[in-house]
Amino acid sequence: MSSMRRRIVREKAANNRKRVKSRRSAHTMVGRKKWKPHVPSRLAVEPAVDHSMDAWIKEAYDAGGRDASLHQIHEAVDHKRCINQYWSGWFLSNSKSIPWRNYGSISNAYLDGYSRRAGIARPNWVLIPTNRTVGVIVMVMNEEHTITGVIEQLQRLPLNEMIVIVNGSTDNSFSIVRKISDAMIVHYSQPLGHDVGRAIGANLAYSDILLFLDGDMPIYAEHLVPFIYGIEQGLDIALNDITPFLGVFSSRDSVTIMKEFINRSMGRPDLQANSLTAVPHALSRKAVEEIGCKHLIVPPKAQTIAIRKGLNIGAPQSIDVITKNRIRDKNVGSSNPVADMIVGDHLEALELAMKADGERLALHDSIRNRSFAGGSGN
Amino acid sequence: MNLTSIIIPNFNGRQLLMDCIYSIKQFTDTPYEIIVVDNGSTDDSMDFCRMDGITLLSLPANKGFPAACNLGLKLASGDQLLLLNNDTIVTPNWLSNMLDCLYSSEDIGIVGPTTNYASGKQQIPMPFSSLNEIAEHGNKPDKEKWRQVERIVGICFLFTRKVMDRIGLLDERFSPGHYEDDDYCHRARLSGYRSMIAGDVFIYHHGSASFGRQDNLKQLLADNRQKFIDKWSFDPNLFI
Repeated sequence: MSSMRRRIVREKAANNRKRVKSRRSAHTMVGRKKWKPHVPSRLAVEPAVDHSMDAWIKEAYDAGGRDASLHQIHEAVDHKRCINQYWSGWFLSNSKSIPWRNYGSISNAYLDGYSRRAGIARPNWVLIPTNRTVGVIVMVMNEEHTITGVIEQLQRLPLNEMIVIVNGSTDNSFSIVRKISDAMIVHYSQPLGHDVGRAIGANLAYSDILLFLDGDMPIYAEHLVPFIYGIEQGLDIALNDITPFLGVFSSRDSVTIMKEFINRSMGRPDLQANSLTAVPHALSRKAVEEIGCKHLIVPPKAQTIAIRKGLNIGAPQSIDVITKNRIRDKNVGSSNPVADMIVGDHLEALELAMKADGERLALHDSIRNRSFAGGSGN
Repeated sequence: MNLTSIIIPNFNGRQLLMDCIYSIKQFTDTPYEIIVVDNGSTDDSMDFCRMDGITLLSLPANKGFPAACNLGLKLASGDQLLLLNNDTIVTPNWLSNMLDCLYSSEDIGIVGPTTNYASGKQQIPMPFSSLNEIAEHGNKPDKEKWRQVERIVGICFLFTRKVMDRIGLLDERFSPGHYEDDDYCHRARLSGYRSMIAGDVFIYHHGSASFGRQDNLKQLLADNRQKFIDKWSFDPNLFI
């Protein structure tokens, strides 16, 4: 604060105290001891300030510098993950006060402060707000043109593991991934079909937080952070919220309608059309274990199982995967094999749910009295 | 039908790997899948696998034998699992004979063949003078030749999924390798499973130096033997 502003505040506070004092003495009874709270003189001069973004940026910068001078990272250790540990320790202890919408600037400030003090070139990393292990599973089928972009973004994150499932690819996808990354790559010469790769990847992974991506769409590392943070904060499934990109109901395709239908049937209308069918999404280790890797092959089934088991499901991020969805010959047209497959997946999921929870799932018939006409059921 | 998942760790052994896989394709008459786990090879082992359509798990660097096997085991979908060195050549009826032995009794968990080069009871002098001879005369099924042992060497190591579900994967403390097979056989025994040599199977093992120079190997063997003793409080060499 400037000195003039300080003087004005001080005068105002003093005036307030005078007024309060006179009010109080009017009510003070004779004989009763007057009790005054001890107010530290600093507070009497400056009212407490809620940390603004600028203040947090400075705090983060200083914290980064402090951590750089406190710690010496050994050569053999993964620097990115190590520095992220320091960052997430600081962030998580302050997370209740730090405005989430400024996470990007604040985490960048930390990295600025750290690299400045450590005397290293400022790396292009994106720090994540968790100490838990994080793995990414990427599905690839002939994506040599986009896979570099996908991998490069993932390499900005402090991941514990990267698993790439290359299937049915006749192009250079495998060689490119092998050349530019430390990923574990599983190569199948035959195409496995949709979603099988996710199950395979989930089975191989050990991390606590798993992010699932496709190799055909590079996504900025910054945009993946909310999925990771969602799981860190307690979600078991962090879905992508596609609601902003859907048009009015009459313009929606059958797949979108089915996704919303199943969410409603399972008592989760709040999830709207958000579904494990789509990537990106993240799962907690608990979700993987409760659902079972093999059920990840049919994502609507996995989602149904998750809802039935009471797992925490939310959609903390919105990435537009719809307008950029790559057109292949099998996924266009009003009746295309991929759409049919997904609708069929939903039928499989409904069958599972109905077998377990009855034919009406969450939508009981509380209106009719069926027995009067020889009916039964609810 | 019973599927056998054959897991072959590989490190810069393209020619050996090719010969090994060729022999598997030639001489295996029961359903199988091959999974090659590549430990960061810099030769074109991986190109060979991809071009031949063999399922490949490519690691960025050498993680050693147990870790590579474990990843292959996680990927495997077979009812029985087989760990195989890349410097081996298999022979007619090799797998069907071993499977007969494996499933001849509920409590058999692990089966291995005889071979020309291995530590322990599985080594026999080469019964034929050329691979062609083996191809013509070898491996006539003979259950009289099956015998129980305490330990099967990891060069060609067949076990059931039941065993894996029960006792888990290889112990990676023995990386880069040696004595993880002893450890696994011991754990299987503790769970009530027997290990058998299928004496009616002979496979060829080049015995090429998988772990580098002789003095490094000696040190590795000593270190891992000690790790075994630290873990179990007895000398694994008793069972060899």
